[in-house]
Amino acid sequence: MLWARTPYGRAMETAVEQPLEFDHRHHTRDEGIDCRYCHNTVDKAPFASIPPTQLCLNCHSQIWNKSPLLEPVRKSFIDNKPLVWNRVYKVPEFVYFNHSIHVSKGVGCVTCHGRVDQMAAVEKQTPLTMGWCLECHRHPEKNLRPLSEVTNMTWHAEGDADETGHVLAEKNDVHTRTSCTTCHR
Amino acid sequence: MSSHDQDPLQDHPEDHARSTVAGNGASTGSTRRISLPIVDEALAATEAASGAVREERKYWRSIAEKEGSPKLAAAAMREFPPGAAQLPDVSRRSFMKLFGGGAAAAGLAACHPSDEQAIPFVRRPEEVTPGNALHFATAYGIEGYALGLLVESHEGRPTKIEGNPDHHDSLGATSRYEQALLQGLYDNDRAKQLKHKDEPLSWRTFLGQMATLSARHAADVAPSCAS
Repeated sequence: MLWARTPYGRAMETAVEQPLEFDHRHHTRDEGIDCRYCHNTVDKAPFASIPPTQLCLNCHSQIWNKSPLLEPVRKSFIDNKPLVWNRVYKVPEFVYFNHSIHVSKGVGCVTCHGRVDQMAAVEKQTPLTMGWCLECHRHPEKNLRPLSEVTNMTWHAEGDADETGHVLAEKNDVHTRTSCTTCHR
Repeated sequence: MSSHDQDPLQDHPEDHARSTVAGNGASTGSTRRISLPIVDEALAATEAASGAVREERKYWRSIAEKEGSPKLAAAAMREFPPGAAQLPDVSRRSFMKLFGGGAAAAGLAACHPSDEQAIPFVRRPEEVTPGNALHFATAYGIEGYALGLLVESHEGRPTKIEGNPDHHDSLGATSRYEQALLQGLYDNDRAKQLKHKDEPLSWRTFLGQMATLSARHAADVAPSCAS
C-alpha cells in the first residue's frame, strides 16, 4: 500500500500519450502564447476548455498549413469530427471543482499543473489527493499571486513571500475554505 | 348474463364490487346483489349486441408481463435466482483471503492514469462555454394558457425547468406539470422523428409547410393590424 503513496502510484510524472504531437514547449516558450489564448474559458467556467479545432486553425490555416503533423487537425475541421485527447487531470466525480474561482482569486496555473512550458507531453504534476487540496485550502495565502501573473510560469514573490501572500489574500478577498460542502456538494 | 347471476344468493367478487357501488349505503348491509330481471335482460341484450364477452380486468406490472414474455415467466417461476440460498463453497479463511485481495486490487485501480478522454468542439458555438449552463426562455401551454419558462441546458442537454420571473403568470414559479416536462423529453417512447398522419416528415418539409401556413395567417390578419 506504500506504493499507492508514491508519485507513480498516483499516476503522476507519467507523460500521457496523445493522438497528436502537440508540444506545449513550442507554443508557450518559443511563441510566447498565453495559456488563456487556447484555454480561454478558465476564468469564467468550471473547465479550462480544451480548445476547439477551429481555434488551432486560427493560426494554422496561415502557418504550417501544409505540415503533415497537423493533418489530423485539418481532417477534424473538414470532417467536422472532434479531436479526441486523453485526459491528464481529473478530479473524481464526487468532487466539485471550478477553475474560474481559483484563477480569479490568484492561484497560478503552475501551482497545480507544473511547468507545462517544459513538457513535451503533458503529465500530472500534483497528486490531486484530498490532503493536497486541503493544504492550500487551509493556508491559501501561500499560493497566491497578483492576478496579472496567474499564467506566468516563473513568477516568484519579491521580498517577504509570507507578507505578499497575506496582502494578496486581503486584496482579493481570499479565505480558508475547509467546509466539507465546499468541494463535496 | 352468465348463470351465476340467476342465483341471487351466490356470492361472487364481481357482484360484490358492483353492489358496493350500486347499492350505496344499503340499509340491509347485505353485499349480495338482488337479481332484477329487467336489468339482467337489458345487460344481456347489450352484450349480445356488442358480441363482447365480459372479461375479468387484468392488471400488469411491466411491459414484459403485459406482452407475456417467456423469459419473464421463466424467471418468475423462482422467487430467488438459482444458488441464492446456498452458501458459497469457501472456508472463512479463504473468504477473507479473497475479500482482502479484492479490496487491495480495487485500491490499485485508482493508481492508473485516467483513461478518460477529453473531446472538445470542432467549432464551438459562440454562446456556449463548456461547464456553464445556458438558460432558454420558452413557454408551455396547458388548456390554452401558456406559462413562461426558463430551461437550464448543459452542453445542449436540458436539465431543469423553472418559471420565467419576467412572465406575468409565472413570476418564476411552475406547477408540477412544468417540473415534469423533462420526463417527457427523455422518455424512451417519445417520437424519434417528425411525422404527419403516420408518414415520416423531413425537418425541411416541415419548415416549408410552417412557412406556408404562417404566410397564410399573416395575410389573414394584415387588414386588422393595419387599421
